[in-house]
Parts: sequence; C-alpha cells; structure tokens
Amino acid sequence: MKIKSFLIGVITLQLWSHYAVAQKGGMNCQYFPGLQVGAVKVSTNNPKLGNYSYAAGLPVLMIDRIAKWYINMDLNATYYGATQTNKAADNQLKISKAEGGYCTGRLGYMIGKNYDKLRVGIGINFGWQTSNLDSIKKPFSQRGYTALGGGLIFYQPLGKLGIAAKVGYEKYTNKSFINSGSGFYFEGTVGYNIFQKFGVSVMPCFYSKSFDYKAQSDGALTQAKVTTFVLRLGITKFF
Amino acid sequence: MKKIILLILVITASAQIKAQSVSWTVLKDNPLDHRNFTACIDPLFIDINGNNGYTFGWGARAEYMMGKLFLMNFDFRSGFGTNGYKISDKNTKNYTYLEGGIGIIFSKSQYSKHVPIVLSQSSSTSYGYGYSVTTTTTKYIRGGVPAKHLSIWAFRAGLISMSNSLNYKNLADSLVKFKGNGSDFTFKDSVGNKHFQTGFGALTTVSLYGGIHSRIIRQLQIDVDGWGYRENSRYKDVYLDLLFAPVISITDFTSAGKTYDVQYDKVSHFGWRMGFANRHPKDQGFNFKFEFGVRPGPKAQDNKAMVNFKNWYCMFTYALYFPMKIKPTFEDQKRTAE
Repeated sequence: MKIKSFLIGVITLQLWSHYAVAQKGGMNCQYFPGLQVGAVKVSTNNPKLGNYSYAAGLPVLMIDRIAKWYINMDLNATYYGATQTNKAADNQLKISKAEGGYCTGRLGYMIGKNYDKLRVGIGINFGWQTSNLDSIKKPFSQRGYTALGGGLIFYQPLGKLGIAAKVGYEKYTNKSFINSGSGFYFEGTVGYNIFQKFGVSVMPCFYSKSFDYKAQSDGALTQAKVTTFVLRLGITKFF
Repeated sequence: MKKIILLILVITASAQIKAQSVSWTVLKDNPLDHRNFTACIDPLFIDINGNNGYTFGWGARAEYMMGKLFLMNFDFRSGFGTNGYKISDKNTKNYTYLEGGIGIIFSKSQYSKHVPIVLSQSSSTSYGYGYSVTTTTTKYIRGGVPAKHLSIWAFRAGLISMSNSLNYKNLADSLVKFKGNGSDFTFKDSVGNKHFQTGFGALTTVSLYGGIHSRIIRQLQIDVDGWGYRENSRYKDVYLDLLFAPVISITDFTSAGKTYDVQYDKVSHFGWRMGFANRHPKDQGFNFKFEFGVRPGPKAQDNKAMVNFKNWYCMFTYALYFPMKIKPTFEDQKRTAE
C-alpha cells in the first residue's frame, strides 16, 4: 500500500510537471528533496506510552505549487522512512520520526487574475498520512490513516519575494484503530528569487492533530495529541 | 478463447487514432537554443542487481556539453536502503557509486523530421461480464509537424568506482574461499558455522569505460488554430559502453576476531551497459535516467555468455534537474564559425 501510494505520488508529480503550463505570479517549492528542522511532541493519556517528543525527520519530499491552481504533494513520511532503511534494518533508530504524508495531496484554485497583488484560494486535501502514535522505532511499522479536509491559500508577491500562507482543517479516519481524529494546520512560506527563475524558500509549519485510538501495544483506548513545528527549506522556482 | 477475444478487444480499442487537418503557426523551432549544462538531484534511485539484490538511495548528477567538441558527465549515488548492508557489520559495505567521464563529439548534424503533435487525448472504460476495456482516443496533427533536430555522436570514456554489499549465497558456494589463520575453507564448507552464515560480504570495483554516445535535441513550439499552444521538445541521450575493471576486490571477512581473505575464482573483468536519459532542452523540471547491463565482477562457474546473471543490473533514477547555459555553448561556437 505504501509503495503503491509512493509510486502513484511520483507518477502524479511527473504528470503535473509535464502538463503544467507556465504561468506568471506564483512559485513552486520543489522540496525534492528538501530539508526540515523542528520538533514533534506526542502527548497521550496512556501510561505505557506517556508523553514523548523527538526532532523532526530531516529529509522531506514534497511539492507545493501556487499558480492559478494550487497543487501540493506530500511524500514526507514515505521518503523519511526510505532514507532510514539501513538504520532501521540494523535496529539503530531510537524512534521513528515519520510524520505527515505517506502520499497526501492538496488541490486548490486561486481566485483573481491580478498576479501582482494578494490572491486567495480555496482547496481540498486528501491522502494517506501517518503519525508515530505508538512510539514505534521502524518508520514503516507505523500505522497510517486517511486524511480528508480543506483549507485556504494566500499568496502575495513582493518584488523578489513570494509570500504564502495556508490554513486548513482535516479529519483522520482508519476503522481498524481510530475512533475519531482531526487536526488543523498553518503553513507559511517566504521564497526569495536569487538567480533567473530560481531561489530558495523557508516554510514554517505548525500542525496540531488529536486522536482517540486503540494503542498498538495494549489495545487500550488512548487519547493523543500530536503537535509539530518545523521549518522546511528547499529550492524554489518562480514564475 | 475468452482471453484471446479480450486481448484483441484491448489491442484494437486501446489506440484509436484520429487525425484531422489543421493549421498552425510555428513559435519556435530551434534545437540550438538549449541549455547545455544539467545539474540533477536524485532523491531516489533504485538499482536491482546480482550483487545484493537491490539498493535504493539518493544521488547527484551533472552533465555539460562544452561547445561543439566536448561532453562531460558526473554521477554520484549512495544507498540508504542497501540489501544486506548493516552499519554495525564491518564485513559489508553500503552502495556507493562514483563516475566521471569525458566525451569527444565526432559527428554533428541538423536535419528536419516530422514529429507527432498531440491535440487531445481522452480515455473511457466500458465494463462487460468479467472484463473491462479501456479505450484511449488520441487526436494528432495528420502526418506530424516538421521539426529541426540537432544530432550529436560522441566517443566517451571515463572511470567508475563502486562499492556494494555482496550476497555470498548468490555465488557458487564452492568457489567462495576464506583464506587465512591456517584454516582455508569454502563458503560451502562453512555450513553450520554461525560466524560465516551472515551471508553477506562486500565488493569493490574500479572500472574504466569507453563507448559511444548519441544525443538528439529538438525544440518545437507551435500555436495550433483552435487548439492553442502545443510543444514537442526533447533533449535525449542514449549511450552504449564497454567496461573493464582492473580492480575487483571482495572485502576481507572478519569473524570471531579472525580475518579471512575472501576469494572467488570466477570473475569477469569485462562488462557492458546501455543507458537512456531525457529532459527538456530549456525548462527546469523532472527527468529520469535508466541504465542496464552487466558490471565486471563475479560470474557463474560455466558462464561464457554476454549476459552474466551473477552481475547483471538495471538502474532507474528520478531527478529534479536544473538546466543552465554555461559558455562555451554549441550555439555560440557555431555563430563564431559562421
């Protein structure tokens, strides 16, 4: 399932990149791969699990493209898991840092044709995500859940800068272990055009997710809150 | 019978090609106006091979067409999912690949050839009892559109250094010899000795390669009446190399405090490979590289064929690439010559 999701994600990316027509007034954060620093905190009411936190996984694999359409493809958890395969096979991971999309997408439409001014968009979110709710050591041993939601997108070009913000809400479901789950997010982006069409961008992101679920270790009904704050950094294309 | 009917249905229905007469305006038809330097970040490659089964990881590539005479290429890959490799096991090695090469262009030509332009494509699926048929309808411009091509042929040569984990069990177990400490024995003889049953060691090769490289560049952009902007652009590479490895080294095996020199009697110092790569001549985007062949290294006891199944491989990598224009370019030198 995870491999299929990843392949579908990569093929979709290829199709998007192939058919996407060049447009003005936007930017494409091509974190393919990108870097990430930050922390994840998991608070549970399960005495066996307790509260734990860890540094966010370093490499990310995602595309966040704002033009006339807003397109986001998040393969972060899958890619982090893949990069840790050697360590995981040798039991050298203290904890899995896989968080976010095994294969998650967002599709939105930016309203307005004045590309020099602030534009606002609306979008839907869908896909397969994961959080380390069970303090698992191996990334691909984590359980996944379906995410479905929506959000707003804002984009403002300022000279060589491109500034974006995204807010949204998602519901998380997996009948096998989640009774209820939901979360919201805020993502900002500041991109700087350095050379020709290219530059770099920084994306500060905040995610808050709440779950009522059955813990993997003892099957106990557990409430968990996953709070993530990360700064993502990567190469960005402007148009 | 049902399967045959289904197959015929699928084959006949899968590509109903309809053409129609249209007119168009050429916006650009210049293969010389390309970016001659490519830098690639490969977030994920996969190498399926006879040494250790599979490896996936990341890499970086660069390629430079220096004027009208030289090609240069660089390729680096490192595994983060190397089958059989354990960080804590010093007998194994992670997949590491380094290649650098140079080419000399011996033939360059420009010609015009009709290329297909897709106007529209749609798919529909119809379901019957126990089967489904997907019909893809593609509308092309009848006969294609003439496009200028730049064709380049080059001789190339270079150096490859590669390390990988090695699955002893894939080799002839009676030919893998552990020598040293006064007790020489084969991998076959080690059955039952837990110190020798990890199954994996490591292989390092240093190879020289030489071969032929073909590059075709076209950049056709047209405005089709009633359909709008359409494009058929390619920066396509195909190469075929012979490999010679003066150095084929199986890493010493250390177990229970004793180090053994691991030897394998049947090795081939020669190999071959064929590869493909593709990108847009000017735009930044995603590209791929696919390569397959036989690397120098261990071979089966009686193997005399070109395909050495002990050391075959195919590699696919998918990259984010950045094309740049770095002088001297092919176009600059052509203008100077004119």
